[in-house]
Amino acid sequence: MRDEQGGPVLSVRDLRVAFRTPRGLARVVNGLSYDVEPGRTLAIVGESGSGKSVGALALLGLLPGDVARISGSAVFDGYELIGRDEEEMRAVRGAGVGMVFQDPATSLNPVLTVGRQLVEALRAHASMPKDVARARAEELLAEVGIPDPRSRLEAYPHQLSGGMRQRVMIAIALAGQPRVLIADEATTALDVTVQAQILDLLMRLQKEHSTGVIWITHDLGVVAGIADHVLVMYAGRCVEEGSVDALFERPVHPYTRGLLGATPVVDDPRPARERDLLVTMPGLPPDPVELPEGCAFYPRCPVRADVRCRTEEPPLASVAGDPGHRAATFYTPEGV
Amino acid sequence: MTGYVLRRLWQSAVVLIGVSILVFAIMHLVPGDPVRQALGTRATEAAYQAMRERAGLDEPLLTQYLDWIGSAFTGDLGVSFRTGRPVMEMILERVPATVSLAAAAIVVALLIAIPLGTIAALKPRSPVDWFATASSQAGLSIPDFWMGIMLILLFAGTLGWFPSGGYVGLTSDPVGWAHHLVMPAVTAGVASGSILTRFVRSSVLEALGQDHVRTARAKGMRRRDVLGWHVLRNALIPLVTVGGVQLAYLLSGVVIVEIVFAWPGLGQMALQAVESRDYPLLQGSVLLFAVIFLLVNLLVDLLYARLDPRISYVGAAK
Ligand SMILES: Nc1ncnc2c1ncn2[C@@H]1O[C@H](COP(=O)(O)OP(=O)(O)OP(=O)(O)O)[C@@H](O)[C@H]1O
Ligand SMILES: [Mg+2]
Repeated sequence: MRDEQGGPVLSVRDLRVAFRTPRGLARVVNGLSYDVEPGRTLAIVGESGSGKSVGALALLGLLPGDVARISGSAVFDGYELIGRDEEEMRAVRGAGVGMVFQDPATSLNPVLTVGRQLVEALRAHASMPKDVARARAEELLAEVGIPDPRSRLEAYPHQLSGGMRQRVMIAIALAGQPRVLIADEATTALDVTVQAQILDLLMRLQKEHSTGVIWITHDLGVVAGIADHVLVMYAGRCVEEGSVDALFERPVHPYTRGLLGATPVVDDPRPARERDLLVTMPGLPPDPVELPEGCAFYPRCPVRADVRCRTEEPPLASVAGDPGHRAATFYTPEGV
Repeated sequence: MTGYVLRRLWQSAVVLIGVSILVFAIMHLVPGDPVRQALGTRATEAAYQAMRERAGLDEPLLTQYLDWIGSAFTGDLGVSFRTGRPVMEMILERVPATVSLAAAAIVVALLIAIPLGTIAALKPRSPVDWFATASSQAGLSIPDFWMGIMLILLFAGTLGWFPSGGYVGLTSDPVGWAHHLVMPAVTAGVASGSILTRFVRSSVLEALGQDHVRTARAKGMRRRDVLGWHVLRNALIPLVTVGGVQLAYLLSGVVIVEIVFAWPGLGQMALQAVESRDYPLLQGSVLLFAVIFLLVNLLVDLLYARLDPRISYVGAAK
């Protein structure tokens, strides 16, 4: 599948992020590897605190430099992103890799108009006269489905609803025509109807521009509908990855199996937060300052048996018969 | 926004009435006979009675207050016991010197605070940050009379760059005005600047950690644009409030600095009024200071509402 479209636009290998904290080193991302293909969607799922956002922010160099230690490699379009300075990263941000942030309520500047914040994004990379940028900003707002875009340019974020703000965030992320779009919980805060609209919108835009999308979420229901490839994260590691079909029909890792067992029907009318059953799995993820020695999932694992699980970290290995499907577990479910 | 302005004006008026009652009451309830004080011991009983009557001190307190506040509205604050001149005239005479000093001092304060506070916040726990903290601590602890005298000794005495004191009108001699203004403005501005430096530092630090600053960086904006439009623009909004308080304080007279530099400002005059129990002049000055505080506060709030679109919105939603 990988070479059908001429190779990945973003390749992440063994990405690691640790934070210096007063309690010690918090190892939040622990060797993450994945590829993002143009025009395709990679979903990264995992419960709160598993390092999804941190892993994404590390790619763009947006973590606090004084406390974050980043290693590994992330090659975007042949260009290594890890270890770049602020000015080198500036060229990639927005134009190469765009990001929609998790919380639209705080991710827009409250004292600047929507128009200004969009125009900034447009003019960050292309030298564009102000009036051209404004016209383009209006187009972008229309493109993300904001009614009456001209007058919305003058609005301040607090004058917009949550859904509208999220659309503005998407418009900003798209302004630089990025080849990779990272959407971090882009629809989690929204009600189901708006969520469906935004998903449609993103899928349409993705098709038009052949954008590679990283869709970060804890909502497995959404993943089934939009993703091509799914990566399940636990304690900063990939515990299982594969095509949507493989993952949903033949999950191997007990964590993935637990998640899927807990996944509700897709058209459940309750808001996303309530439907989010990832958090209802018994137990808590490990503390990143004191990661267990063996399998990070060991304390919560319903099928742990071997002493190996407690002392040895299971490697990510291909599942028989499907090279794109890999899981990090010593456990082999029946019938797989 | 209009509703917000009207509401703030109304609030200011109410406070002003309260303040005027307070000023009046304090002046009349303190012990000591102002007229005796003003006339000295050798005045005749007849002269004493005449002056009491002229000042209206024989009337009931309420009548006195209403008279005073009524005239105050028309710009008549009574006549100074000591000089016999209208209080309003004496105050107006001192306004240019006071405003010059306050404006120059606040400029000095901001010129210190904004760069120093910002640089310190951009490099927390660095030598620059350490320097900023230490120097703002020093600026706060050095007494202003001492600093004023040191400046005079060095720049007026040894180097002879600036005059040691006195005030020259802006319109009569602009160069002389500026020349005389430098040292008093620096002396008065350093303390305010030290207070504001700490404020700017914490305010910028807070702004730097905001999610929307991360969004701005993620757009690929230039560092200095992110700093100017998303960090400073937001961090300086609360500075308007704190800076306003400093300005009001400077406007109501920096007595020590005025004395050290022989600066004919309101503070010095108010001090003299206290010393000589010149009730009408003191009342007028204190009332004026209250008006200044209210006006500056009003302006600050209006400016704040302009800079932060959420303010008037929140007000309107209530
Ligand atoms: N600056 C930081 N210093 C120390 N720890 C941090 C820092 N930023 C994030 N972390 C820690 O990293 C861990 C992972 O955070 P992250 O935001 O990536 O989780 P997430 O998977 O995105 O969760 P959510 O679904 O809630 O968004 C958390 O335990 C968090 O406390
Ligand atoms: Mg997150």
